[in-house]
Amino acid sequence: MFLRNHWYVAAWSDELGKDPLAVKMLNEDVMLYRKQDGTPVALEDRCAHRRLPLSEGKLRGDTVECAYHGLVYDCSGTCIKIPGQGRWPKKLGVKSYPVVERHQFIYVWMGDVEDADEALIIDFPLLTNPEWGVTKIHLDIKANYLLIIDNLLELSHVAYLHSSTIGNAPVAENADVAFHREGNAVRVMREMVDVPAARTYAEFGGEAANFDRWQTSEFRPPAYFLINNGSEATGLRQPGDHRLWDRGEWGFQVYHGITPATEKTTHQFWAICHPLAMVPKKGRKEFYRQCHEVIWEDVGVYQAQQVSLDTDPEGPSADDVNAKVRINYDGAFFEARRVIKRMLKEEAAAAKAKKARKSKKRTPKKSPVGWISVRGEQRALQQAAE
Amino acid sequence: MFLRNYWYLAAWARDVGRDPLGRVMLGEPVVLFRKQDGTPVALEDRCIHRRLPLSMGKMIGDELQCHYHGLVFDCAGACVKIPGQDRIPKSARVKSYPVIERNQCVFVWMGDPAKPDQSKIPTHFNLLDEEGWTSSLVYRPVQGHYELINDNLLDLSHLATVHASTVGTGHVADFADVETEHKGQHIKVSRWTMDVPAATTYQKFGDYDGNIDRWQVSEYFPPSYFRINNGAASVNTGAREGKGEKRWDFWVSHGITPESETSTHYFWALAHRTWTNNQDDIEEFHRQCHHVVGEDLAVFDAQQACIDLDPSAPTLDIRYDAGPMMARRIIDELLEAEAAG
Repeated sequence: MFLRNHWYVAAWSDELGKDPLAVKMLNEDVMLYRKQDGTPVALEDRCAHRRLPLSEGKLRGDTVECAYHGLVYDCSGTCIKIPGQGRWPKKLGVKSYPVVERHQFIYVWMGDVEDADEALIIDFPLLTNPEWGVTKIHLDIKANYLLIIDNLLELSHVAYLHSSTIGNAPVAENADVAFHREGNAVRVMREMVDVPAARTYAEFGGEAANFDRWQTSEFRPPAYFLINNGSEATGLRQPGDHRLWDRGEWGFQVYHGITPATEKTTHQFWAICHPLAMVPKKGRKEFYRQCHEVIWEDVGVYQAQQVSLDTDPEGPSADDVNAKVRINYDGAFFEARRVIKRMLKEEAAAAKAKKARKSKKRTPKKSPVGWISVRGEQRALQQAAE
Repeated sequence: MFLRNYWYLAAWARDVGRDPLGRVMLGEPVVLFRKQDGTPVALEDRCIHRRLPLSMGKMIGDELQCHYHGLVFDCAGACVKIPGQDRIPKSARVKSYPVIERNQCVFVWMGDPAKPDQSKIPTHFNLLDEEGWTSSLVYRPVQGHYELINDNLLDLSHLATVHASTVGTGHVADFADVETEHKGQHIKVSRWTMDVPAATTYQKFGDYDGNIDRWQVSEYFPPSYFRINNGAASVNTGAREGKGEKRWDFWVSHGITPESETSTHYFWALAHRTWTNNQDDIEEFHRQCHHVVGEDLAVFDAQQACIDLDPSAPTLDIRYDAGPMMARRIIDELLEAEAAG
């Protein structure tokens, strides 16, 4: 079960070039391509005729030609040519998805087309800010997307999993942790005061003595993360919320766009952004290397968790992976799970209401009176039988 | 469905060390490691917090630290540390398994952890510790149900085909005198092929110039252990009476531990009296025997793949299947007995 009425990241801008790109999203096969003017298009990746993925076909101008029998679709998904045939049903075509390209992300709307609203897009403007450096990757994860959300809301793991780069024991042992919910967003704030610097911070932040460090991780449904990391000399400022979104003397931001592909596979679009001045050109390669080491360590964990879930098919699913024991740092994790569950319910209820509205409109025209009377008779018979 | 109240071979002792080793047994994830004093420990390989396999973690003294959020578990499976918090809930623990090391094997009790039955500890690998003997160990994961391996080892007529290049000849299937007996849950299949040409391996290492009398005696012990004695002597010199000229033999012990319904851990050990000082000969003999394991493995994997295509496809039992069928019956009876408590 996935939240559908949302914009999901389908690709990084630079992943979509001259050739069509196939992306599985929320169990649907989506094909992306660019029109001649560069605008991205997203269509159902399945020819209406024999279901061959259209992404195996050829682009002809702004249209796509199926590789099998040469049916041609325009960028609204309408079939505009069937070789050797003059007429075909007007409605013949494939589904088309609303798509928007913004700040290096290509977003696809996976819900009802009529609800697609660009104002709902979660923006990441720093990805194209010339004063910021970026390193990014698209990861194909063999795990349920919730395991990634868990990871990012419980940053005490940085102490253990990432102990060779950005983590050391105080991240778990000496953190002052609080979490808040604002609407559907869940935010965890972790502050470590007067602690030794982990390797990456020591190497690039240059703090030799103890320092203050903070991590703010914000989850925004359906599955985006904005994470701020900051640090500065102890005593420079009082600890507290006022510094949780800035980087202090040294820090960086991490973004995650998380798009479920299936129940057991996920696209993770990950980026590190830093003010250019905070990581001088000379050290940038090594800084990026350490960042990538961190994300691959995480990938190893989600995937091992998924294998662990799969070995026990009768046990809990990824939905309640935590069922057995709860620790103090789990607060935000539970809050996010609650938010997702509530939103799923709300979405199902809204879809049901919409369906009811639509069928109500049609009922007087389409339902013959006789059919209603048959139902009435049945009810009467049933009551008699009871 | 697996028999649970048994000691299963979890790993060769040499493969269990200070780095935790993860192994799924009977569908349960198990992590094996050694304490600082060398004692082996077996715990559930699944952190109680977020289900990461504990085998990804690391040892701190005699305790195992989860790789993810740093929860620490002691050798009894109790969580003794949750970073950043003082109170540890009672439910914070993982299952711990009785474990025993013997004859170069680490055995794990997969039944009720409170009632490990010491009398059931397998002794089928004792030849590995004999003085004056040479042995070698093989571990291979098999993509097939464990009973496919039982079938194989209880019907050694397959040597004629699967192992024709080493230990087999056509005579092994066509002219064998086969006797199948069982005592309680123990099955013994004896195959005698009298007055036949020696297979390649026998010719070379038994040093025969003429025909031989050859035996294969395969013994099965539930849930899934085998001890097989293979040997030969020059023809008509009394092999069957326990005598014989140029008597030459070797033993193979097998530990077969189900991983899932379609995969198995296969432990294979070859042991024999050190009949020559020529190290090259010994190595070549072991190489040929290991080759045999590979040939069997290819068969198991292919069988399972075929079974998965259509599990209901019909099968046929033939004359040599008395042993395999007996083993299946014994396992079914034992499963029923376990289910009945």
